Amino acid sequence: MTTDDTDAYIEAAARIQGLEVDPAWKPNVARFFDVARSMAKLVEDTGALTDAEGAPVFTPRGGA
Amino acid sequence: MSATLPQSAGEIAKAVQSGAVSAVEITRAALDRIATEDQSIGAFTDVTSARALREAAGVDQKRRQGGTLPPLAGVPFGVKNLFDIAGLSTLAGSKINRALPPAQADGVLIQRMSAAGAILLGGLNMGEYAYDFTGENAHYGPSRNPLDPTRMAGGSSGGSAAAVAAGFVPVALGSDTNGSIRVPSAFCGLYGLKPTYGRLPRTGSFPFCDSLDHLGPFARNVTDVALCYDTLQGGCAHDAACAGRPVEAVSPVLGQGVAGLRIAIAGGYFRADAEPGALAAVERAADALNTSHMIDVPNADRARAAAFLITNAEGSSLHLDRLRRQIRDFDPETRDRFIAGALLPASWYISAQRFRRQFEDTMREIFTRCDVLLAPSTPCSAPKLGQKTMMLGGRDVALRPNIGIFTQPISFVGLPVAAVPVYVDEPMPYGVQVIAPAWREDLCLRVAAALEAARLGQRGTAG
Repeated sequence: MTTDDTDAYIEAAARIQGLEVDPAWKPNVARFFDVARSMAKLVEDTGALTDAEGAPVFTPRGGA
Repeated sequence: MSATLPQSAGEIAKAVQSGAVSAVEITRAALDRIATEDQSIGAFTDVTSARALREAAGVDQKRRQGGTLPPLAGVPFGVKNLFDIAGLSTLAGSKINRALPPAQADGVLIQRMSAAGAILLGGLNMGEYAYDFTGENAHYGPSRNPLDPTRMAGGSSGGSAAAVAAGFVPVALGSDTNGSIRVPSAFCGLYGLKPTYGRLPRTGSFPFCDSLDHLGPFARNVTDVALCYDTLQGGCAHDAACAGRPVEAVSPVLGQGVAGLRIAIAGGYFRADAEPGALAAVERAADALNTSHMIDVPNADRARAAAFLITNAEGSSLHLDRLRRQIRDFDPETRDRFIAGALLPASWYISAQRFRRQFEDTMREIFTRCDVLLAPSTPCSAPKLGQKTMMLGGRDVALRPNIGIFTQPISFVGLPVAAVPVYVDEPMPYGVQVIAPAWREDLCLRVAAALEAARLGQRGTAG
């Protein structure tokens, strides 16, 4: 994605989430979103994640 | 507190037990100092004077009736204002939470401190909703660093560190999701403990990121950290993440020393982007422990990235309703990050959670080769208040997201860490993380005690 893509994504996703993004905040929101995107790329580049167990484990507690 | 009164938690409890000083005397002295000095520090957001004096009188009455007092009798303490305090709204550093009804009961860890005879003096300042490494706050002002009030106390438990470093209280409680105990400990020259994830219950505290939230103590010496931590231990059925481990007291083993322990220095990532002083602090600690063995920690950058994503996604989800209804009441420093986090694709978050197990395996393998790992707490010493950027690896980078680069990979997999202050040849201290395998807080604090005995945390002791 390019920065233009980021701006378009933020605009659409924020509308779906019901969030106001004041035009004055947009550059900062986009900057943080792009940081998150670079973090996600780092994590996804580790590969082999399909074999890894997700950390959260839900244990049903039974009986009331 | 008055300089003529005992200063440490251990000394206070002994003096109160012996009758050398009363709990009311100790409490009044602490309240007087807060009243006269905290305006220039900004540690407390609420001071619970009437409650404190009532509880202190109760301790004194119990002593007059004879018998042994509990281990923290008469010891003043404060808590980060994300802990529930009966009768107060739980602020969590926000303006928005002021509208919450007062808490009906104290948080579980406050209850445990009170049962041990400690005296709660109030709630402490923090970065809004704990999404912070600076201790700055748009609504309540910054927590200033008592070592140099023009500098940051660190965050997000800034008030907790400032209150202890200023000498208002000997111990305080804070929280650490990505470094919020270890960073302020480093900036303010204190000892702190981030226990293993799931060791201490978070019941009765305002959450930030359930997957990564920890609670723990600050103090000016290791003995007080251990005394406090031993008091806080024990399970709680109301925190699903609490592992319900039995109490494993560390106070009795602090003096066991470090002989026989395999201590290593974290290499690679943990040495790449740090100011020379931060690396010098680790070298000084390693020298004192007679080790130069270095172990690389592969994928630490990815661990930090995954912690970032989990925090961003979970924190934003937690606040989604407040973001929809009251977005203009957020601190601008947290608002834009929360908005971004509310928009992350779910796959980014899930990949980060999956990577958590993978990185845990990495750290478990490393701990087959050593017992304890040393790493810097922060890449820099306390920045100036208002500072927005820092030099990192020769680049000018944003300050806020980079203060926690060395703490985030460790809390990501819940390992216990003692934060140890170390001075080098500079006016402000640095912090060293003493990291151990899960559930081995005893090792963290034994090594911390050895470093304390070597006087690394005292200004003017560096060669």
